[in-house]
Amino acid sequence: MHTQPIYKYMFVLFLVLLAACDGGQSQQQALAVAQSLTPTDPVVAEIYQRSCRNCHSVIATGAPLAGDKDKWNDLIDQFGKAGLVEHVINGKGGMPPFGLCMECGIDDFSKLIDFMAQK
Amino acid sequence: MISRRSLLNNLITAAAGIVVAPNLVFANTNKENRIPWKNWSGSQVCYPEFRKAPATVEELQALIVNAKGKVRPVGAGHSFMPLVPTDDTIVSISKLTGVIDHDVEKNQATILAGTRLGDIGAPLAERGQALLNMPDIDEQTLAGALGTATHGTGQEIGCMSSFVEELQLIAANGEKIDCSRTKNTEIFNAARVNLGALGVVTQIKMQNMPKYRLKRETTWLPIEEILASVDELANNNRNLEFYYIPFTGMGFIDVQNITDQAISVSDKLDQNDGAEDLKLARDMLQWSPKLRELVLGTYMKTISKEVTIANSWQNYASERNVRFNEMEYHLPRENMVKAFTEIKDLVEKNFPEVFFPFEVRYIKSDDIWLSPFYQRETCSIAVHRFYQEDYKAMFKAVEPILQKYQGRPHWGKINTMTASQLKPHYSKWNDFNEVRRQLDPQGKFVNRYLQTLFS
Repeated sequence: MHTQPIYKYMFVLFLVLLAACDGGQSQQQALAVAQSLTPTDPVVAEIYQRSCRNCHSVIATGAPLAGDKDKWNDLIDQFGKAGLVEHVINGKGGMPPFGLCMECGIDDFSKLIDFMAQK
Repeated sequence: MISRRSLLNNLITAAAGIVVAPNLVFANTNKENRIPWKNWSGSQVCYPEFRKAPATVEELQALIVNAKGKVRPVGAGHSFMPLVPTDDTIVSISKLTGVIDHDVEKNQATILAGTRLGDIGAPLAERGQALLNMPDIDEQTLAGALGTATHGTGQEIGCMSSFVEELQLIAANGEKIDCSRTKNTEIFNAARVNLGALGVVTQIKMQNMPKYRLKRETTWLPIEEILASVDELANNNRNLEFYYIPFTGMGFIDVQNITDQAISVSDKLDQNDGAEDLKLARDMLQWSPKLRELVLGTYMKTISKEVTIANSWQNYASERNVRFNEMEYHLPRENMVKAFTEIKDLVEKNFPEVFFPFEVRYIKSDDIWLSPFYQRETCSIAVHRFYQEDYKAMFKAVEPILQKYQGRPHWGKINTMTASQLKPHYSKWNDFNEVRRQLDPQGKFVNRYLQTLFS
């Protein structure tokens, strides 16, 4: 039988496309959330605007989006809060060391992570 | 429909027959309860006692006067050379940002030194202006870019420092000094490319032009065709650069010209995805350079010409989320093809692990004392290594070729040249050092690296 595998592949392709569409929609929703958020603490807000927002509110950068709670919860489960702070200090993947805040300390980074994770 | 990138991944995987995904892990580092400062790529590290970001010029003046030990300014940390490291005080200028004044008739604007290049375009456009040129990364602060003679490409366009009309800096005694072609001219000639050695720059008046739109056209070609045509293309296009992808025989030419055409984007390759794909090909096909060239070269020949029309400030730079270390030298233009060919042959013979592209750009000569483009029409050649991989062996092998062809290193990119090697390239070296001594007689701004250059 030659037709059965073709149907099977079409079904798999359909599922993949469906997942891709869902992924696209949820990604756009996450983007809208990221672009709407601002920290309430003015000190954290100033740092976020100056040093974090340009990456953490833009999908193309690959950075986890601010307010994407699922993503941030996964990261906190995986690395712990201290681990994420260490990622900021040492750099991780595309993110350079210190993000872009050369004067920030551990407390600043901790607050910024809390904000982006919406803790 | 399967995407072109998926096709490439499938080709690589099929050709390799196996899936390998090396996962390198960063080591945690700490010392004396101080957290480290690191540059963008992580290759420069120090443990400063103080990291400060003054919000005003007055705060900055007080900080410099009262600081004990060394003081080093930091912008975006995008320099690969040890210009910033000190264990005393690092001063970030990140709070001194924005366009604070402009002159409509002269197309000039005064910009605070900590403004990132990527944040200059929009406010300038609101004032009807645009920078004359920009580099292909726009994360740097303006002061950092000028201090290291950062450049874009275009044979009729100088480096960014050549657009400076006036500049203000804070000297070691806290004095605020303004300079231009007619005021404190010696300082002006030294300060436009200053390595952060004269003081902390606070604001710059830039010569701009009326805002404009650029049409970027990207064409993939065999490297032999690129080398045969590039000089003429550089003559005929406002901005031209080319990239060569090692172990593929293929590269692409990017040209940009001013246009009135409507903003549009054709199907476009993501450069970050591209770098990841090249790494994947390297990881899986390194055992067979011929197969690697066949797979990648075949794929690259299928890539259509890309056309992007956008506001100038949106078309120069690309989002870079793949980090690397880089060596770039600036050569007399006529030496480029010979040097490039030697480097290509060397790398493809001895360094099969390399996957990052080589980059070639054109820069107009200028009159700035420590500019690598001082009185010389220039082509730059840059080579890169992924930030998690050791760059030293390859850069050590490539550097003598770049030096043999009279190359001057980019001040912010990896090189091993000493003061005695650099001086013959810079007829105004001693003049620069004299200005530096006057502004900073105690060497407050001189860290270990700068001491090797100017002591």
